[in-house]
Amino acid sequence: MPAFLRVWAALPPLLCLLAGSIPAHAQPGNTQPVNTQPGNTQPTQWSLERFDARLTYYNQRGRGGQSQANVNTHNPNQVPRGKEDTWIVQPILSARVRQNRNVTHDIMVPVDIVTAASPDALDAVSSASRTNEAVTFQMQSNIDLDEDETLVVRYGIHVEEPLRSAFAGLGFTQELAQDNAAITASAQVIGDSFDDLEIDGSNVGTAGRVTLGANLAFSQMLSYTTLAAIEYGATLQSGRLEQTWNSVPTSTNGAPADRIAEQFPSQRLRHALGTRVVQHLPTLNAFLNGSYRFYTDTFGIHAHTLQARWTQILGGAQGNPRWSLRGSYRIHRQTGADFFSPVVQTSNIPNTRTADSDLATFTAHETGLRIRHRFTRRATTTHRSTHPFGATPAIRHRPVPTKTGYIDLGLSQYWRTNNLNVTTLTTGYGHSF
Amino acid sequence: MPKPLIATVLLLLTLPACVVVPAYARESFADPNMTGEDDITEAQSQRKLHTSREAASGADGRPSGGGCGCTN
Repeated sequence: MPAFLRVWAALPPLLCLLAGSIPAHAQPGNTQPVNTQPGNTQPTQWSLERFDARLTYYNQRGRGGQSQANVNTHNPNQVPRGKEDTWIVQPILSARVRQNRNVTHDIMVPVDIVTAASPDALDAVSSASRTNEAVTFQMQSNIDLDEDETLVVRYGIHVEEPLRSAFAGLGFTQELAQDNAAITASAQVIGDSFDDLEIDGSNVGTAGRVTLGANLAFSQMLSYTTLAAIEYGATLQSGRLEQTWNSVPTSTNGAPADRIAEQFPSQRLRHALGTRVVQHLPTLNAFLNGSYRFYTDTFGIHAHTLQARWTQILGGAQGNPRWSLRGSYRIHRQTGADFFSPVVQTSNIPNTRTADSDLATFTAHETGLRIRHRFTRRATTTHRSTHPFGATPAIRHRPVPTKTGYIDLGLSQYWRTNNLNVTTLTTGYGHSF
Repeated sequence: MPKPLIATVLLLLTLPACVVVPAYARESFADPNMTGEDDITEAQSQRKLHTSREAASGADGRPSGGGCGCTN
């Protein structure tokens, strides 16, 4: 990892611990102690506030031009596509730890155990038989500066067989209009260092890339039962952006030839604009959640993503044990990258090229069903929280039940129009103390 | 300027005109279905599904892994 990344990664924990050691009323410009409202029972010392665990299984079937595994055909009239079959088991652990009245830490550790068709170059050449493991440690520290202002520090690392990544970011949330609205601005940097694997599986050294990002989010209560949010993010990537072991099929005078490595531009600027509305429907005892996202980048990819979720509460008033059933549908439509081509001619090989089906033009559909049981053990009190790991700020100072928890089971089906299907089975458990 | 962007900006401009909900009337907002607090790990799983398969997903300031710079 480059030296500047190590220094950057070390700064947020120091800043956070420093802020946590200073009483809020002693901080410059802060004339009010925080969390003095009646009913506030937040402890002043280290304590575990909540814990979540999830186990997800993905089963993927499909083919893509970038994969060399078990290519379907050498017929010149057909596009050669390798297998993308894989399955992934992903356990996730998450916890919120309170350091004192003003500082909380959200910790998340997802682990991916993958049998790889195309992620591992050696597997791609031979067969989809190997296993990869990837682990991420990410932490978000929320520092309440006063009643309406929160400083958010994010940092973490990601390690897997060919890749080492570190990231850090800063954010600031300002609540407005008697906590009816909140605005968050954040910025982050991600540094990746990875093995420079060729398409034949040989390792020729290391390569890297840096990603800089900035996000602006605004959320507001639109009515007594409606919450809305809007978010914009810009991201600039520089370095080796391609997956070095991905290949592009070639053709000579219409006959299949060899494969060459894919090649991306060395920079990419991305823009994403999203909106979200959550509507409580008391008469139906249900919640409707809708979101839309528009995306564009300098690769020439444009995308629209629409999602709707209906959560039906099955008996039980708020704060009491109850079951809920949620149905969801998502559609994602994107145009391909300007340099995408399933096959390139050997007589005219472009400087930038890819056959990766993830960068092609396609439409993806996803349907899901989830059943959840929620349990509660104590009456309501006042609670402060920010939205963990999300740029969208949540409204705080809400009365919520304490000592609550849930257990759920979900099933979803994802399918793309360019030959990819994923079945997902997930189960989760959570508990707040 | 793309039409979705215009529509979103117009939506944003309407937000400040909305009602102020007093603290005692926020029963709906106390429900985890409004805040998504119980969906932290589920959102992480779904993000993994989408960022690994869609070049237009991600761009939210978090690492995606997979050795590919498509989705950071």
